[in-house]
Amino acid sequence: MHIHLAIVDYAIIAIYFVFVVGIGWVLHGKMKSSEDYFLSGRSMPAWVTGLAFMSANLGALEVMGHAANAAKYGMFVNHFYWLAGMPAMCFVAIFMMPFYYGSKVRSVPEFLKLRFNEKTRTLNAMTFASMTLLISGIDLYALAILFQGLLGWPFWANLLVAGGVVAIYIYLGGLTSSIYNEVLQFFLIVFGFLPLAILGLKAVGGYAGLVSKLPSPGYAHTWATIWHPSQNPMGIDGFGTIFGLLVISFGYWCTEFLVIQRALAAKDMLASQRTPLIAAIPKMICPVLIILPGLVAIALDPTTQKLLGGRYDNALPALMSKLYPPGLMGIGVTALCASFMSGMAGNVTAFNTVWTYDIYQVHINPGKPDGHYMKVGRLATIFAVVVAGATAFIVLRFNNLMDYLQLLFAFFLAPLFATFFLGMFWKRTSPNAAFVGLLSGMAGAATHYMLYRFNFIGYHSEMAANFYQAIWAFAICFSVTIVLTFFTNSKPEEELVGLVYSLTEMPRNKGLAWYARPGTWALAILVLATALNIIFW
Amino acid sequence: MRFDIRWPVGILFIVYGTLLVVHGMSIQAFAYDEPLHASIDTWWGGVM
Repeated sequence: MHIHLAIVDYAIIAIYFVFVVGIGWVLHGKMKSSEDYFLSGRSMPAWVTGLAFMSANLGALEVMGHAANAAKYGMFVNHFYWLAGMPAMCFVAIFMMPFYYGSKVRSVPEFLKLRFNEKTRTLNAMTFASMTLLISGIDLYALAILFQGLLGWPFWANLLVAGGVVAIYIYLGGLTSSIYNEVLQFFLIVFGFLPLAILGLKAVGGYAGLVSKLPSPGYAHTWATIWHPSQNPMGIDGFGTIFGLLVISFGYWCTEFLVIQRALAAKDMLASQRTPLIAAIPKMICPVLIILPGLVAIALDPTTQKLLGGRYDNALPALMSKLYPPGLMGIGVTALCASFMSGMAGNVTAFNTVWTYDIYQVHINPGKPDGHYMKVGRLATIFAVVVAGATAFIVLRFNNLMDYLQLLFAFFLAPLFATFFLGMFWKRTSPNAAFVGLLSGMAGAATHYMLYRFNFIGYHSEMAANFYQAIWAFAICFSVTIVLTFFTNSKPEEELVGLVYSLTEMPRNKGLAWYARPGTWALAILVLATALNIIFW
Repeated sequence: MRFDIRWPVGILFIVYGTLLVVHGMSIQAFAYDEPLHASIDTWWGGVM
């Protein structure tokens, strides 16, 4: 697939690159402490952290991956947003941010240390660091193949340039640089992809035309085909869809430090609670920008699928190539670049924080001055970008980015959510049980993966296998942790104040009007999400 | 760490919008002329 660019397109892309490096440069002199570098000095307003919370999730895996998913599985993919995303984002805002923000932790693994013990923190820090590097590779890969299509450069040269730009702006401006670029990315995605949805619908003859041109009736429904694997394009039953997605989604939104880090950068508790709720609103309408173009890409050529060129991941850039004139093409390509770079930058900032605070400062070189850790964070940034370049080659083996990503989430995040859920809502959960439970959950996920890969168990699609792997990992971690808790020592209650629901005073926001309270916002979001599910049943 | 992101982002989108409007009016004024009788670059640039 080759995208032709005019001079105006190149100008738009070049301005973007100058802008992002410029933001890093301006912020360079403002980094006075490690908290500035890793947590933006906990000074950001809710609208900034909210958009960043959402955009950090809108990396290549989300944008190209879900467009690819829509082309491969149809409207069923809406479940990622309206079934799984909305409840999880409301849950983290109302129930989990009070613990994260209130305990003043600097990272998710650090919370595990306070609630459980050092070894649980280290296990999570190590697995999280590995996962972020693998996911960074996805974004870098996507950026590299986009540049390959645009410029015709070899894959490795694209990795070098794209990785270099990200490394520069994170090295200079840390989390703040990443967050500001995520805010910019949000607006670029709206302005870059909304015309694609409009022109796409026009090209297929409106919504009715789109539905009539999809490869099978199952493509046009979110819920109607969920109950039997043979009826929906994803090839998964209702139980697997609902529970698998909920486990993966709650695991992601509630424990993935990449997004939680944005909420921790908020200026106060209320802003931190509003962060996921503000993010949930644009997230709810993301299917218009991402799912719809994926559906149009398959509807334009459902039989031969020449437009996709053999890879579902081509759905979005291929449609842009077909429908966008010069000028708008520049905005669209810049939106893609911004999405990939911000997605990667988000993972890199999460990695450098966890590496510095939870691994280096604890196990390698404790007790150094604050400036030393900021330097280590900067070096970790360079290291993460280099390793992401290597992991990008792993992604080449998958024909759908989202399959690969959900595999990682099922392995790392599904058991972690079980550990957090028990830790926050059952004060008896013991540190040793949590550690062994987490380890067992990941081992269970690995076992499931091997059984599937060697055909001892079978599913109708990769995604179905991922969903069941998540359920398997969650159930094992949950069960093992509960059973072992009865045979091991729990922490005394006085050490759990602020960390466990039953021992913590939750923020009541009594001085706020009813419509300004996080609980009201969460309720409104759930009602709207329910309405969308019904409309697109 | 005082730095208001609204200014630079706002200016960037004004620059992008202007580029699109100028390009749309000068290069392909008759492309995509329905229903606004302007190229999509022109009207989307105006939106930006």
